[in-house]
Amino acid sequence: MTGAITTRALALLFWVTAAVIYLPIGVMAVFSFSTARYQILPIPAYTTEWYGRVFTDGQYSAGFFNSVLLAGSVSLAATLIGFACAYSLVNARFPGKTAFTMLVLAPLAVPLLLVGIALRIWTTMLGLQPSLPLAGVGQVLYVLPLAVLNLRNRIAQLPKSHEEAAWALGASRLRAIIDVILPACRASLIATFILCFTFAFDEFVIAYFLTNFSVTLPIKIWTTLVTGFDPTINALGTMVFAFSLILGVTAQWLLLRKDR
Amino acid sequence: MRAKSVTLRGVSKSFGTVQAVHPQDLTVQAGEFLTLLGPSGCGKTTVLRMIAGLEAVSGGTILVGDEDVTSYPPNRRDTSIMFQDYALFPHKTVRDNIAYGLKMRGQSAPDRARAAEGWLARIGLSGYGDRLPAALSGGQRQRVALARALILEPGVLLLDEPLGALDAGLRRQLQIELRRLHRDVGLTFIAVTHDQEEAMTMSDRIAVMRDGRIEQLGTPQEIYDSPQTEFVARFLGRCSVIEGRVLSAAGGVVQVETAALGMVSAKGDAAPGATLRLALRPEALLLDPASPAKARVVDAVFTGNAVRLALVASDGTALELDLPRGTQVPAAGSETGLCVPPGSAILLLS
Repeated sequence: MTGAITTRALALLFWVTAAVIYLPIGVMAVFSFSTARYQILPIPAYTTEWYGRVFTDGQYSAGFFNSVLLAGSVSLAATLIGFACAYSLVNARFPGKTAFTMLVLAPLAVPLLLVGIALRIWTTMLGLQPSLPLAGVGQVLYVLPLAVLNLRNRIAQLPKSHEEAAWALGASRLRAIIDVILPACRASLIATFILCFTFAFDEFVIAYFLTNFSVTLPIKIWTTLVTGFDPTINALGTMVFAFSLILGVTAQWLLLRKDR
Repeated sequence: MRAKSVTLRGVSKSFGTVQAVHPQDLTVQAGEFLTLLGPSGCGKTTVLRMIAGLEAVSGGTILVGDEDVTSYPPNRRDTSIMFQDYALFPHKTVRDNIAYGLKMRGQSAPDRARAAEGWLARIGLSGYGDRLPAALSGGQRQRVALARALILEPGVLLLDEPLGALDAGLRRQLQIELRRLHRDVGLTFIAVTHDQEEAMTMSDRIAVMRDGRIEQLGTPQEIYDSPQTEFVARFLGRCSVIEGRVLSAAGGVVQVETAALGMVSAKGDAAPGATLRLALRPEALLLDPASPAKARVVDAVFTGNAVRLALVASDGTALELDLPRGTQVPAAGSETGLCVPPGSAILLLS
């Protein structure tokens, strides 16, 4: 009997948690279809006007374009560097390997605000102008631990003999990685790319500190909120949420499905 | 002929403080089928991996043919290796798996496809070229792995537990097939196994390994008939071990006085007065009611082609004896006489 009660209590806890997380977003989604300029109930009438405005307002589309470009390049770079890191962490034996691992994974534990400030100070000292590419470098640092963790797990699962067989058949080290390791990691690589993309796409702090004029979507949303509320934000937020959710679920599905 | 010899000179391997292989000399003749036989952890696989270049040596030199390959990476050695798990590339078709080595040599796609088809036919898998390895049975995978390793006609083929992943019936059949294949291709084969029957069936010579050392090297018959140590005697087949004192030695025959079976003669040489041990294969002991050497029957087990008797000698030594079928089986608990025909006892050096 206690077992059944515990199970029900856990189920209840799950739904409460899910509600706490998703209800505000649901509220935002509902108001994004309201004709009213402010979030008031009851909703006077329904409209898709705000969604239209997201696309017609040049500032939003510019921000969206910048964000996709930035997140795309950041994830591509992080996936490639992350793969190299993960491969060497699994295969290489060198002094200070543990310390190196900690160093690669550390950005996960450091408050993002500090990372942002530190990057800004450091790049200023180096005489670099804040720009989109510079923000990209900063964001690679931020998502790299995710890429390394994901890919390291996958590479560690692979039987060593496959790579050794390729060597014995005449393949160089690099050739064996391309022919044997990369294909076996295909789903994990795609999942890693998507995961990094969702994190980089939503990232605000580093982008805020390291860009000047070419703003990303999160920065645009932030400045709009600060200068006065615009219902377009509701529509935009709902779309970004749906977009991120689809990507995130796809990434998880790819990771769980496992590579063939 | 493509076959190459393999020479190990003082080759050793240590992992940290563990000495996996003690400094070792070994010469494998070109075209020979040599098996490294031993229990798990005896260092046999490490020796194989050092020859393949997958493991660096801690000391010594390795020659393939006349070439010192000690510092060469695997892809520069004239060796191929087949792994216990076959290590077929799961995302490549059977044909691409077999042709992979040729691709690495820079052969054109049509040439590779033709060579792969040839091997598919040879291993009886024509028409399977487009399948993925996952769609094959264990035995089929094993043959694809062999074809993939042999298509390069390496001077030396290394086999790590080549039949280890298969069930008993298939193993026996493939032992014969491997032996035939070795004769057909005429290459040097070096295999690793822990299965003594497999080693005996397939090999020209066997190196029995124990704790990182080769304990004895010889043809299957030499190893079975004249094991030098109790370990080798027990690892290859069943045997009883009895102790005794040398009375006399002359003309390559020693007379040994044993507590268990009285006077026993064995081939070999030893100093009179020395204490030593003798190994007796189950077929080397005969029932002889007239013999003064008595033993009590403990158990009788039917093994198919014989009845195996477990006995205890008067001094307490455990003995085993194979009775041919059709012989009267003495009852458990009864006493019987035993004799050892001259020359059938084996003198152990340690």
